[in-house]
Amino acid sequence: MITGISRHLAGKLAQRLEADPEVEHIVGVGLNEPEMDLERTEFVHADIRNPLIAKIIQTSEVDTLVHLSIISTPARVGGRSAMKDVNVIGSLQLFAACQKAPALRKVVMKSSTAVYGASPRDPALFTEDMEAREMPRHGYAKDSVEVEQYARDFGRRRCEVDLTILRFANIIGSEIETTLTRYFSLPAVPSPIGYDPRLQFIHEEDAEEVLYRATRGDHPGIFNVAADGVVLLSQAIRICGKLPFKVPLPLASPVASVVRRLGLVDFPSDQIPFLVYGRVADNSRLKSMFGVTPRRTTRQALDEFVEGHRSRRFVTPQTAAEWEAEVYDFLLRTRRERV
Amino acid sequence: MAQVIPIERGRREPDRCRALTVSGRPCRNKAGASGFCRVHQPPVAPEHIGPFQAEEVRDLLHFLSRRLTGDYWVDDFGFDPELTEKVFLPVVQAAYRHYWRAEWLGLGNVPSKGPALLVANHAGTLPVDAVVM
Repeated sequence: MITGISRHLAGKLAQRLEADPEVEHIVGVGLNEPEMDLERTEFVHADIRNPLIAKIIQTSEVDTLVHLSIISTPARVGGRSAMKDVNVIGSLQLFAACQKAPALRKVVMKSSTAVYGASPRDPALFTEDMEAREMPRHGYAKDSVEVEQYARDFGRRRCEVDLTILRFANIIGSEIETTLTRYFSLPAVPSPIGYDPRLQFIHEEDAEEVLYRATRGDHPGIFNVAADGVVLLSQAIRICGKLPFKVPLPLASPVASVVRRLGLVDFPSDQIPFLVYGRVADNSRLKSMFGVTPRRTTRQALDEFVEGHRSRRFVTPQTAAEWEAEVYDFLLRTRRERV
Repeated sequence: MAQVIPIERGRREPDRCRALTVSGRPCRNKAGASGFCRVHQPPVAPEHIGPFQAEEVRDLLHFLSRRLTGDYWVDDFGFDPELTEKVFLPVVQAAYRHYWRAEWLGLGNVPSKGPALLVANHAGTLPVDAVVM
């Protein structure tokens, strides 16, 4: 059973599972129709906040639950309180329902590296055992922390169920649409003056691969799912061929709300620290214990995003090479005239 | 039978010199192996642009264009070796040699391998001694 089936990653996972003949039956739960074409997946229009979800889990004898309906942006569901409702209450009900499901053997949950928060006192690399230096107090990060807590509580009560918590870095790629991809599609990308955070991504195909392996294999535990390497925010903006729009930190929140009002990017103010201090997680446990090495580095994932999204670029590598040749020729010519 | 001679080839015959004369017309002299006659020497790429080496200028332009498109590598801690080497170090080194005129005594006490702790006993607000070390 997959929750949040209407979303991109869940749809991709369902497609992978459909191609696997050993998977007998797939149930997709969600409030909206899946955005992908799914053949074998049984779509159940249900709300995980409704206790009826327990009945669905029991009657279809779910043995593996993949919980992906944790949303990071309030716009799609209509407001922050609704978002919190879906994330926190939904997960609460879902895990309560799992409690009463005797057939359940495995729970895979999508979390985020947002649980580590973002602050100036952060370590260079977050490992799975670390906690946030400054506990996230609102927004998506706080939801993730709470939902993880419920998952761990559930894991303690039902010891025989394998619980896998996957903390994903920001997923990026040529197809997926997230807050971050829309942010990098802005013509002028707002970024804080005086700060140049390190960012870390994971390519959508790598994320899908990890989810699939977690669903099919046995990998209990918590794993950071993040690509190798980092890019700096200023570097990322240049790779995207955009112009930086430098914002002083006190004005970051108003700018974010203007951008939100204009309907450009649904960028919640609680994510601003992420763009100021950045966050990098250690993926060595993913490599050694989970056995998956992300095939693309952060840089390659970003490059593929740039290739895939045909948004306007002010500076492309081609134009830069042309400028370079032109300036060089110009300098040569002025030199020759003087001889 | 009329023979079609392409205009371009008519102007620049393969065995003629490829240079233009002072009046702007193609040179009619027989060309040597280089494609130029004995009067016109093949143009040499200049080695200097102003006081600088042409090669260095090209490298600098290439560096700038790569910085502009974000085509550089930083390590996991956000350290940018290229920027440090090409921009910061030359400035610091110039100051190190000519402004501070730093001298080292007892450098042999610092192990060349393994970790070491260099502690500065510095007075003042700006810890410039860290830059020197």
